[in-house]
Amino acid sequence: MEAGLPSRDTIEAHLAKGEYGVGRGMLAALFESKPTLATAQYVTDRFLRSSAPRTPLKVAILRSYTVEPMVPLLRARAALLGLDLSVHVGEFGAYNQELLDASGALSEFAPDVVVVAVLTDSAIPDVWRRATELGPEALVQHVDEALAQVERCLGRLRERSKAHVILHTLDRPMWLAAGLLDEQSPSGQVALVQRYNDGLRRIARGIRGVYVLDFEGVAAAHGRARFYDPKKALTMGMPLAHDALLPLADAHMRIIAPIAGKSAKVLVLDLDNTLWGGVVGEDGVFGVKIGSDYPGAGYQELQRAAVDLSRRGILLAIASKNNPADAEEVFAKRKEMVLRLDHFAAVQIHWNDKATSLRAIAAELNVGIDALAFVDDNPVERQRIELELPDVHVISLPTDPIGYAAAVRSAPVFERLTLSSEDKDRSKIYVEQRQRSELEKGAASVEDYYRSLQMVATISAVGPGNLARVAQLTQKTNQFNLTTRRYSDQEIELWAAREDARVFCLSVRDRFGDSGLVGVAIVSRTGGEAEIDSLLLSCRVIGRTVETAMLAHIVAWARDAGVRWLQGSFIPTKKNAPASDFYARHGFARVETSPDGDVQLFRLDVREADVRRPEWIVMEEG
Amino acid sequence: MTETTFSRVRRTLSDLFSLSPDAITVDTTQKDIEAWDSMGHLMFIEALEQEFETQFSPENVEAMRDLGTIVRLLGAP
Repeated sequence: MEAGLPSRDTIEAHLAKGEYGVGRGMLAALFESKPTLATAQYVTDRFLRSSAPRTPLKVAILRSYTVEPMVPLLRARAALLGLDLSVHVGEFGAYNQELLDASGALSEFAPDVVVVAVLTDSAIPDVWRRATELGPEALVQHVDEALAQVERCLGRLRERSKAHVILHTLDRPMWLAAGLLDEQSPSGQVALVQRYNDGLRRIARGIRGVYVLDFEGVAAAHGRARFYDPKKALTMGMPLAHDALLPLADAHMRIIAPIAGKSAKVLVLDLDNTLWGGVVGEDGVFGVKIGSDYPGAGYQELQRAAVDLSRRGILLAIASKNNPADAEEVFAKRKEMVLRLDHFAAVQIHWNDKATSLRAIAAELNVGIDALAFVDDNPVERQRIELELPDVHVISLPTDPIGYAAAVRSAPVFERLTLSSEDKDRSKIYVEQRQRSELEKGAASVEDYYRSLQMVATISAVGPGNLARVAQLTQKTNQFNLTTRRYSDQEIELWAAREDARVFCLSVRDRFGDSGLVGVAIVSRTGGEAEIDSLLLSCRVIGRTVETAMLAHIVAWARDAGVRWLQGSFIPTKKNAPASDFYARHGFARVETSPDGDVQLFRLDVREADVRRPEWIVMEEG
Repeated sequence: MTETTFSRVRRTLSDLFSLSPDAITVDTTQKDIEAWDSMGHLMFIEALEQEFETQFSPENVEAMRDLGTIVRLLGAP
């Protein structure tokens, strides 16, 4: 047994007590210290027998070579992420038939994920063996035909299955048939393998749910000389060396984790000895190590990794035991810092324990505790979190800060398969929200706070540019939503086309940023009466009085249109209490309540109504 | 604490095929363990090579069908 590693008895005792977070951390350390097939199987068996929640996932691996020794490693990594992987391995070299066959073992297995693991000698055999014998046209045609076959097979699979597909890129031969001359030819082996890989990526971009695993990149990163075992290739059909198995399993996990929804939304960072070297309270603002030389560069590199993740839509947060003023001073005064305080969506700097901080961060950002990933140099803090909050993704750091950034960058929970524009802006929106709350805390009165925000509300009509967003708001808004009526894009289009109805769209911006389209009201009119069918506000802008501005606009419109009575319903749900007093506090009279209390009807006499735009909001028409 | 070669082989086998170590003796052979089929043999060889940081010759791989032979090939202790 190696020093510092927990014994199997210790691990099993924690798991038996239901402390699966601690058990997971220990099993991960055990596996890391000795990532063999036997350890992998032990880790999987023990963890899947624990009380930890897990999601089943079926993975089929279609292949041209022996992939079986990688499977236990893949299952162990998956188990530690909360995935119970069932793996079906296809017949040798039968991958194309299996993809085409609608009634075979693959279809029966009904996989969630299909991996196509094929090596260059099988995918494009003429490039592998006859590169100096065949002419350039024949070789290019050979590659293009192989790609066309891949596309055809995936098309057939898609007709019967929604499974996600992972395609391996091809690796170049270790020794090129033409030697140095290969580089001089546009149809050299390197160029042809590149052509195939480019084609594979094009195919993946064209079919939903198809992803490329950069096998060539993994082989290069770990060294071709250590990646292959030519003797085992011949004696056992097993071309991959031991050293290739774990990197390859990890490359699969980086795609499988986001497919299975095992994703962290927030990266929670410690400060002392994590974001900088040393302890600011003892070493002082100019004593902590951060910069471009060792060891400061290791911390700086971790900060760069955090910035990269935030551009992927992952929110950043701080959980640190410190005097807030000391910590803030490092951000303010040390120019070597890559991260600034305004990169963080939530900040917990105090002397309370970190589990409390993590709970507060999850609550503030409105995410589940299992959406947090926690990075701290101190193994004691990490284990406290594993014990108290076992569903947090705790990321182990090596002892040398030079390895910190890689530990964070390689975590599968930060991988994303696609990036929406909302993902890119998410960080910004939360950070702006935090700045607003700080301003509110410092303001003398709530009115002062509203004034200092410098809000501008824009009312516009619904059109092709915002239709999808309007429909999305009706579908996703739960809290400030008076009737919670859900509409599709098509239904919103119908509302917009009606002569007797109006769809009001509200966008809000302030000194901290643009919140975008955050409010919708749908109003229909019959003669002297108008009915508010829907009125909702995104939670991004609740509590800033913009609903009053929107209603003032609607009342003014009704008055101009000759409407006497403006009617609206409030339909209570489990979540829409924040909107329950909306009509009452704007002078509407309650006229009726359905016997079961499910619908409350309100009415406003437009001629006598006094609904005014709050003076701190500037209104514009868009 | 130094483990004997036999106990390391036994742990490798019991971990890999999810067996109780108590059921494994120096007389255990491939026929005694259902999961130790031809693919299982390849996996077991891989696992032993990892555990003992060694590479077996193809001839030895063929011969390693019982724990007695495996322990002898790996050498004492």
